[in-house]
Amino acid sequence: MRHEEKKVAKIVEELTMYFFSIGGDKISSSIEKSAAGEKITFRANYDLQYEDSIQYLEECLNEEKNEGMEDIYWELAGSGDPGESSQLILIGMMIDSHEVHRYGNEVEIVLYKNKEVEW
Amino acid sequence: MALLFVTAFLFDSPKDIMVGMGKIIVSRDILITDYFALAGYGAAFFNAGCMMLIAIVCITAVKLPFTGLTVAAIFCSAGFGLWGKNPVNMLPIILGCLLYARIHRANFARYVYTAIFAGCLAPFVTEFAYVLPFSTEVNVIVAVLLGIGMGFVIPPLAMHTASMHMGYSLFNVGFAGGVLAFIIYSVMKSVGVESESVFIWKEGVHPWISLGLMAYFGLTFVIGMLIEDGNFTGFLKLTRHPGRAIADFIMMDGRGNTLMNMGLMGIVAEVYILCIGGDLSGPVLGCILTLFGFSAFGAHIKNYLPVLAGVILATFFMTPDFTDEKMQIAAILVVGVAPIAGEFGVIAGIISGMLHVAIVMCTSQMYGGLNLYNNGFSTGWVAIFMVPFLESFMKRFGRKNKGR
Repeated sequence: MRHEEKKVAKIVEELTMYFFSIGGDKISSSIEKSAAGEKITFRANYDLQYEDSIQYLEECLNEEKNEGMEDIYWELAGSGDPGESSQLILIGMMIDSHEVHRYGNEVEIVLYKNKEVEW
Repeated sequence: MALLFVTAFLFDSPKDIMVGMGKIIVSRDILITDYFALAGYGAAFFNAGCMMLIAIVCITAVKLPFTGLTVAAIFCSAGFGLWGKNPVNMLPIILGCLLYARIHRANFARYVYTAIFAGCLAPFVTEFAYVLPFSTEVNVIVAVLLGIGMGFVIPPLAMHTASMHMGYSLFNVGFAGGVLAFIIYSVMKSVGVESESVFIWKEGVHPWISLGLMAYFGLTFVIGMLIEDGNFTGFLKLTRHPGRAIADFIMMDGRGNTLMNMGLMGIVAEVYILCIGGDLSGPVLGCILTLFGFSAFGAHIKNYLPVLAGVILATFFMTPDFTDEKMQIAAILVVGVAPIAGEFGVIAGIISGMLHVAIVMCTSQMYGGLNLYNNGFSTGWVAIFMVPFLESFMKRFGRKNKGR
């Protein structure tokens, strides 16, 4: 089993915890599953004093996909309470591509996790 | 890797190295089997080079990015190539992981790190060849098949153990390996298959190894410093990470700062062993190389020193022989619980270090010394026990860290 659906849920969980830690109180997400893979759309507001945290988020999402690390550590995504050390780098390694759109103190993040080519 | 092979040929002739490799391959590899004492320095370093090469080939073949975990995996592989792992007992386990990937139609890249770290169970392969009640040829075939079986079982186990300790133990696959080793050993004992303990240890400090290692760590630090143009700001930022997985310093802080951290950690570990009058045996050197590797993935001076202090205190109260072989190894591999100190502070780190010593003294008997990552198994239990309590304590009295 490769737990792809659980991983997608964990990605949403991690982003939710992260935005809780930076003052988010309006958080929504959606998941679209298709033959090509999963598309996660995540929208949240944040406290503007944490602007550098959004910058950090974008840096983490830019990390190269790393299946080796993903499969050992994906269960850590979303673990712990808001404000603890985050697993955003792990999220970056779990996704294939992303988009980040900012609207004032709100952010919309679209993540793409492609279906793996079977061996 | 090249340095390991060069070192091998500096110590011994090719013929002696091949004879030594023969001894390594056919020997039992239960804890503690020091390849320096068993087969000589040349063969041991050559074997370590082979183990590092296998790790590098596996990782590059699946085209994984080069990260801190890559460094940890290859140096851990090399380190344990000095006391327990060799190409023959390691390959069935890798094949098992490969088979798991094939059956699940998944890319082997997903499991390659697990396959490399799962070499902790390699002693089982050699041991089965000796203790099973069949002829030698059948024993070897069964041992290989059982090794493949272990490699097949470890990936799903390793996936779930990370959430047990929540990333506060750096040696995740070591913990999973310990669980599996306990199960297998229990089954072995229940059907009357017993194995005897082994203790092979090279005492003392070879001056060239000591100097060479110190020079290597010093050079690593200097190269890191040159990459960062002598700027230590990034290195200081690195030491502010708690170290909890995923703390990949190469990805987060860059290669220069990571190399400085690795060099410094290697120097600290070696200086500690030399100061207590310890031995630069195969196991100790292997542990130092493992610590060196994990200094790219979670361990740094600020989170290592408190847990080391805990081991020192525990040794003082328990033995108090600092040069006891198990204490020397525990002092280095306690780095596995360094994230607890990084996240929860010095006192928590000291207590974790002390607890690690108490647990690691007992855990080897649980699987007859057949799990090489005995300290990894112990650090997992320390994290599982300490973290929930510490987290509730922190919540009650206010969080120490916030945000990133």
